[in-house]
Amino acid sequence: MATEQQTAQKILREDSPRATIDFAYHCFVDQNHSFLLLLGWARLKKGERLLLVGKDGKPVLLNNVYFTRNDIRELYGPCFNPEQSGYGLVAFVEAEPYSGDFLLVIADAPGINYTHNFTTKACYGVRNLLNLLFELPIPDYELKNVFAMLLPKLGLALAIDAQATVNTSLAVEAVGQVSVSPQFSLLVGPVYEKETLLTQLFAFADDAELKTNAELIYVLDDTPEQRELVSILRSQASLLRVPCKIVSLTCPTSAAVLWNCASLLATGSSLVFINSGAIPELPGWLSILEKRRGAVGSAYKDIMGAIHSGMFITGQEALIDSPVPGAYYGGPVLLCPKEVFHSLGGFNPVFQLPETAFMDLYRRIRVAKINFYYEKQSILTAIAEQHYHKKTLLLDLLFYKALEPASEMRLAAESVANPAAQVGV
Amino acid sequence: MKMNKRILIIAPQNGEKCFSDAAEGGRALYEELKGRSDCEPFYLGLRFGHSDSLFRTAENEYFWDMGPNQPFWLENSDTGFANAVLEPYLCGLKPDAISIHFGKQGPFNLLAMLAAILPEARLGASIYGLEPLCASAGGLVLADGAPCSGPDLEKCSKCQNGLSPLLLWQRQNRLRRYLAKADALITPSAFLQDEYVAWGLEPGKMFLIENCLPQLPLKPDKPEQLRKNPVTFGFFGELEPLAGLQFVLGACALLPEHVRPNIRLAIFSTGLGRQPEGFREEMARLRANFPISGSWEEQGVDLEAHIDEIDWLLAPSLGASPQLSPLQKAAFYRKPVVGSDRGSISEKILHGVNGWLVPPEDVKAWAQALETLGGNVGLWKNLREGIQPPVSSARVGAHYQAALGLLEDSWA
Repeated sequence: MATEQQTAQKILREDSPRATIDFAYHCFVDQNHSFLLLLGWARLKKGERLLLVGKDGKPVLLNNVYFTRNDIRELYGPCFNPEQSGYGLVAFVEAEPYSGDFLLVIADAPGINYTHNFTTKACYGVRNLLNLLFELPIPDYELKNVFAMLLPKLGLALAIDAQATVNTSLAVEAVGQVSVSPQFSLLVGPVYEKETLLTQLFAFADDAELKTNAELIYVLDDTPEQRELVSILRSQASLLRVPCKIVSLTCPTSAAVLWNCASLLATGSSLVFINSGAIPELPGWLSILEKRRGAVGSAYKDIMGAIHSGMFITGQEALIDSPVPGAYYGGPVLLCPKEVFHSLGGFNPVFQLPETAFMDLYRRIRVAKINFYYEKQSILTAIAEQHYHKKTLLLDLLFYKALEPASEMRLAAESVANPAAQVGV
Repeated sequence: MKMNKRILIIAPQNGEKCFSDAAEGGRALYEELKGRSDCEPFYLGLRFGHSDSLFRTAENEYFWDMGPNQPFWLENSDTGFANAVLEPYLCGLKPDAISIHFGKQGPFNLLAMLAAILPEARLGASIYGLEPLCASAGGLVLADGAPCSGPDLEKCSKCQNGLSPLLLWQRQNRLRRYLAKADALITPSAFLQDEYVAWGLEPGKMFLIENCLPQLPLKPDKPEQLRKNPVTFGFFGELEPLAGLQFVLGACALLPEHVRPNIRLAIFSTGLGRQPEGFREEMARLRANFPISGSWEEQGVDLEAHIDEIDWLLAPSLGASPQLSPLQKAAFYRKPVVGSDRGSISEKILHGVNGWLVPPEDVKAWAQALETLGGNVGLWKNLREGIQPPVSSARVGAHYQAALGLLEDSWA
């Protein structure tokens, strides 16, 4: 049997394509983490393998995150024909040297080869990379469905890997005299939009409880707006006498990671995670949340005054097809005792959006049989963040779906049908 | 030794010579209080330029060029400068009360700044318009000139060419919070009060106090001055769509031939160059239909200089909260007002008693009014008799002192 290198070189010399690869997408190099993603779908017969071949003709060893024949069978259901259908391939390679032009080839099948030329493209961040995947033209509807089912697995693998390689540091500055031993630590993030930041800050400035019994911690990751936002926050908080800590991270990251970082700096016994698009409206809202023992989510209003339940407001259908910008899937605020939060390992870092990070934590709180309550009284108004990209939300929901057993989804749907059942667990 | 209460008056500088109730009222209040022995007034003039500077202009008077305002938010974002300069100035001054006079541009976030810097000082906010609750220049008027029923996020979004309701909600939320910082909310009309209370401001903080009128030159009272032929209707103010003059001009074109020689329009206006091209063209077209005297595109409007040239003051505003100082000045010079039957004007003018009211967007009604009033000397004299002199600045000053808790018996 020819070596892989010999096979590849042979293929490169031949110019009669007999490809059976349906599509092969693409190659990205993340500027920070230097990895290469290859995503493809090939109809391979038994014994065939896909090789990535560099310009020098040397095949590249793929540390594949790929799907087995059983995965494909499960996804295709009765349509699956083991003789004709092939493997899906999703390859993720830690590969600093891999940039430039490549060929994708099928090897170990005499007379069959495929040459797919592609050039690596720089892509900023795992999330952007995954967002780009949604724009890939997928050849047929059936394949698209399969792809959609596989994507969460791929995404999770990618995101977990990327988060593991994140090397960030943080800078903390204090504005004013922050409470020394507060009961509450308010962790606000992520912050991307100036006007929303200001609207919320003005609301905090009116909150007497916040000044006496809480510490306010803003956490901002590295975005193009970070510098301006920190500057605005610093001067406005100082002018309005709102003591706070400002935590600036040196890399872009998810809401979950932001809050995990901020929680390490919190000195209060109760952690209150609050989305930067949530505007407290009810005086004494912190005490209202805290009156129950355990984790507490809350109802909230939208800007038209309609009251929404604080979590699990969507069913399975909505997860895939209709993520509406501005719809909150996990509510905008969550109070959690610090020891509970840390005992659960904090938020799952793969969740980009606050709402989905909350949803995942709710799920784990439920699984751990820790008390979780819903405060039915609406304590704040939630503002939809303009920057939320529909695809980002969709990805988070796909991740959530990949993590969440089907029974949880049914429970979610039931809670929508019967809001009264949401009080107490 | 008894110390006088210190009051800081903050008002926009009237850079362009045009009516600004806030600028004139704030300044006049300062001048009035300066002459009193029971308080010590200070004055801080505001301008929204680019120099970021605070400087002394006279004894007890400073001028702050606080950087450009944000017209939508009615805020000023010059917080860095405020931290560095305003705070030391205020902390050095230590006023017992602050009276802020808000013009069309606000900036209302000044209330939040002042409340934070000087939590002990009583804050009085004088509001002369409806800009906080209506992002369409406070007009509360629909695109066709009809009155608007009040703020509603969806309707306001349409009115603002599809501006996000989210932004409108934030604007409203912030402005309400700022105004809630004031200990006293002072308006010159009950109409404004009612609108703000309906909007969510606290009724218990509301004070109805007339605008403080600057010192006006006295002119001899000559009731026989009504020109029988022609009778002059005078408009003073900024030429903008909300001013409603286009409906009066449209009405002039409808006047019968035998009436036209009896009527003259004198327009002393400014600001047309800043208006949209379509409006400028419309005004030019309407203007061609009727002879008009005055200074159409002056750089400023000087009512006092031209008051002798008119018999009636035109106040055709479509907006519900126009500047009221022209009406006060007209009352001072005993000129009846023919004005819009809407908002603050319809509160100040009693139809058939001291003036004449017309539905502002109704061209035919304006034509009818002009024809009726044009040759009726008896009616003019009767209405003139019904005009009450404006409230004296001394009285307004005392009302402000009471609202701000500066009088001995109200201080507790």
